[in-house]
Amino acid sequence: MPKSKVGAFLVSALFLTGALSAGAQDDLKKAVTQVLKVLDSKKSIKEKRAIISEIYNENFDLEKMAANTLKSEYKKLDDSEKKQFAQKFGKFVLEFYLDKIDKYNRNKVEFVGDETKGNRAVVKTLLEYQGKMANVNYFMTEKDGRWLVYDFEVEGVRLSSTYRSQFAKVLKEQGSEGLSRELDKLLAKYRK
Amino acid sequence: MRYRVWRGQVGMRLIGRCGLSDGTSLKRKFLLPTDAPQKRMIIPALLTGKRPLFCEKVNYLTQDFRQKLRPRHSKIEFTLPVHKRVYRIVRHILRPVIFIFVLSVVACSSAGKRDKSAEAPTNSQFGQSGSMLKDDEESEGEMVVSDPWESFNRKMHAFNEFFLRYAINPLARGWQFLTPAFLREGLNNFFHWAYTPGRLVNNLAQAKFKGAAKETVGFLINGTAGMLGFYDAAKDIFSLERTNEDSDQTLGKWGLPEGPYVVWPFIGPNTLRGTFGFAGDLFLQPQTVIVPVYIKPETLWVNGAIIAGVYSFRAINRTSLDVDQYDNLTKDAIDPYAFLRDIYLQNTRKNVAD
Repeated sequence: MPKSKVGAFLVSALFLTGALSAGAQDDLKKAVTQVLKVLDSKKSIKEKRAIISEIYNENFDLEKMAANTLKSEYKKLDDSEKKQFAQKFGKFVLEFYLDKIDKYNRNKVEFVGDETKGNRAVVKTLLEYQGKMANVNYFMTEKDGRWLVYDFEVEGVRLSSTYRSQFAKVLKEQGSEGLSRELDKLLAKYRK
Repeated sequence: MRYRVWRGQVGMRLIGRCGLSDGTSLKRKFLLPTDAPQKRMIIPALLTGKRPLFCEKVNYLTQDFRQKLRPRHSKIEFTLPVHKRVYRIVRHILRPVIFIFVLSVVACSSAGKRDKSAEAPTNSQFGQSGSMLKDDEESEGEMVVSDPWESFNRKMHAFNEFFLRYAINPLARGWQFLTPAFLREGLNNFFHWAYTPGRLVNNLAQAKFKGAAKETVGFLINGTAGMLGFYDAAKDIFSLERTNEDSDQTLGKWGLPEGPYVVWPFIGPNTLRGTFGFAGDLFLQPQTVIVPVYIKPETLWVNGAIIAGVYSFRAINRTSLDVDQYDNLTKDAIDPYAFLRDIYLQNTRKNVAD
């Protein structure tokens, strides 16, 4: 089986970014600092989860994340289906990260650079994982004067690209209800 | 007078030139030793008073011949000079690697022609001039997947999953139970160290000289301070990051299309190009050189079995370091087959592009 770099995904790459300079970077830095503070604090896991969930909701554009993952398939959904999918997928990504809180071990983070094109930006970072520095890139969008994350990539493996074909297959075979069921199943794995 | 006689193997060809004391010389190709009459042509000449004046460019000799020769001519060197030894090993590796490369060019090119979507993405997929953001937002992050053999691949995926669950994982757990963690980690480090030549060659083939230097320095440090690689001193003491270059990346760098996605039994996810890369990597691994050259198994099957055994042992040892890795990874998948495929392809493309 492949020794996938997705392992690096795992240690909440999302939250662990270093010093940034302006725009998208500033907003990301703010969120990261908050999360690191929580992770380093002596709060209980339950409290940590609650605070990180809040920070996640404030700094992620769930709608855009859903649209960017489904691409053309997203336009075929009606408004309520879009909303439901965005909410469940957003929750799944959050659970995915929260699950890795206990693996956090003051991992080193380096800021590499950033790039902005219109209202989109990519912030490039390096995150220490299992003794190696993994490339972690955040794709951000500007909304109401704030930069929000809508996608991320670890060692070339991008969240949206990884789930697109799976979601498209379910949508094709079982429709949006089927997709909703599949997301519920994924979420259920975290509610052990 | 020094005679140079090199180590050989039973049944190999002897290319020899022996000048004899009566002014005659033997200059022809001899087949030794199974061909008894020809063997006698040389040996009596050497042992019956006709002392050879020189005996050079003798590539291979048999054990019998060496034993008969040794007591009378103690100055004869039986080992290859270092540069010749290196040349033989390089030749041993290069022949199959070149063969594999030519074959992969033909196979991947024809697959690429049949299926345009199978062409390897270039840096342009990641945006122009290395940019990660495309002008057209809709096509950004779009992933081209060529999977014409999906039905076969899914069966192989199911088989591999079964094999992992009921063979590799139990063995890995047993190994985990029997051995302390430091030994397993040491063995893993040792394999990583021993496979340095392959990564070094691939760094050089991609003109990544910085990577090649890192591999060389890492190899030297771990070979000495790291006790033959068991301890990764290069990383722990000198913070030296190693590379992950392999033959697939080299072929990709040279512009070969990746071809369709394919899942092989026991080996796992791959592409057509990656399959040739995998074969190339096997020839760059030490056991492929050590087993036929030094252990000399009787048949090709035994040879292959030893190499596969080393490969399997390495896989089991590596799995024992994190037995649940596969389950943890696929936990987040709706369709583990597509999940692994998309991760594998993205990761491979990134490695080729950087």
